[in-house]
Amino acid sequence: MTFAHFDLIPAQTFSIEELTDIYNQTRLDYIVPMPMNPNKMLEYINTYDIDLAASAVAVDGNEILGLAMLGVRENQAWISRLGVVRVNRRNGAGTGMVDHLIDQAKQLGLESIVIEVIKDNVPAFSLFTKKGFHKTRDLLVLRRPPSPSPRPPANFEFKLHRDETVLELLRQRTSIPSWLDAYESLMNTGNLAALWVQTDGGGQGWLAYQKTAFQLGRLVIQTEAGDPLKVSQALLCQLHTIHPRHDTKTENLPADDPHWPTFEAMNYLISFERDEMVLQLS
Amino acid sequence: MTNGFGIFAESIFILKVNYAILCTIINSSYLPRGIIINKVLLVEDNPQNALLIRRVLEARNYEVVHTVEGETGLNTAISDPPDIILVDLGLPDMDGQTLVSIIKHTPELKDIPLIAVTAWPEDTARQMVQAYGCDGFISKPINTRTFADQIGQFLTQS
Repeated sequence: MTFAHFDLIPAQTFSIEELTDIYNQTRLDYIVPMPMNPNKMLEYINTYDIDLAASAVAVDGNEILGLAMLGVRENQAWISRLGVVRVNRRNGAGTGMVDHLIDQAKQLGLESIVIEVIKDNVPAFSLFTKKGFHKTRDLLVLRRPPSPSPRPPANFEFKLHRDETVLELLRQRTSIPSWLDAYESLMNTGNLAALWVQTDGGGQGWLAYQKTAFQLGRLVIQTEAGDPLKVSQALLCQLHTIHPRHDTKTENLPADDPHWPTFEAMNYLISFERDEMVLQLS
Repeated sequence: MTNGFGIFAESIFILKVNYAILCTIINSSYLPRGIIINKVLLVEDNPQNALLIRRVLEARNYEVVHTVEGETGLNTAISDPPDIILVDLGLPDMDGQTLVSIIKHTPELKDIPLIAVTAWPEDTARQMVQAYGCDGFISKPINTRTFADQIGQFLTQS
């Protein structure tokens, strides 16, 4: 696709190393620095179902202007890794790439496009608002450094699940996930485990999470019965009791999630916040 | 019982510590080239930032060992412990906070001063470095006139 000052080239014509380099160039002065190496980029593409044929790199001759990626699942698309190299901003490349991704989603017959914009990124929020996106909710990105946790009461019953049982629990999830912690993302990422708890007062629930060498992440809590605060407290206490030396990072917990007060009480910190925005295509 | 080498090593250590304090007290830019004050491990993925920090510190007689990724930074710190570690909180392989938490839970590294060098908003950076046990932080972009002195102060405090 050709615009007045630049061309859009499908991202699939670039190597992973090139895409990584382009992405890092666009993020040098970003609000929250999130550089990647080629391994992380490949993992990202696979985990979040990025369609490289629908994703685009903006170029002006030999000069790289920016990158925008499109994740595609069933009826929905997700705009991600959108960025323009600083010296080339305000020349329409960002808008052009967004228009291109919207066209791609329409051509694929998708129903909606979702985007997460870091709070206070006013230019991005304005751009998506102009394109017809509307804000749906606030999402929290949380961190918890490794530290001891109070043990849950001894009379609570816990079970640890892995593999298919975790996916089965996630299929029963009732809360609305973001793209990052949707069933497909969790299934693609692997290394999943889940804690199930029965509390003394008949409370019941589960916590699914990903465990890597040094980090716990992608936490999903569901209360099946009883007080969500009591159930989530039992689950988080147990999680950090069995993994006391793991750093924890969990992204996109809705700010109005009933379990958020427990995260706060368990010394989780808000790293930053995002605005989730959606554009209905049909 | 202390052997000859032990006494020699101890003397070198005392000289090094005193020299570092002296350099912090006086302006170490007057010191002759080639005399190394302290070894700095810099874990920073941005080549321009790394080059700038290296130039500023080497001009003030620090030895700078640079790694781009967290894992190599960790391995370097273990195999050749530095006097101070500077960590960018945004790294391409593991994020800086995870690296900090690993270092602070590694017995042979936990007492080495660890400073976050970050572009995060100051309030967030302060909250994160305190929670993760960093010994301090320096906001990006660095002030090239004061950066070396800031590092010297962290070393003196430790």
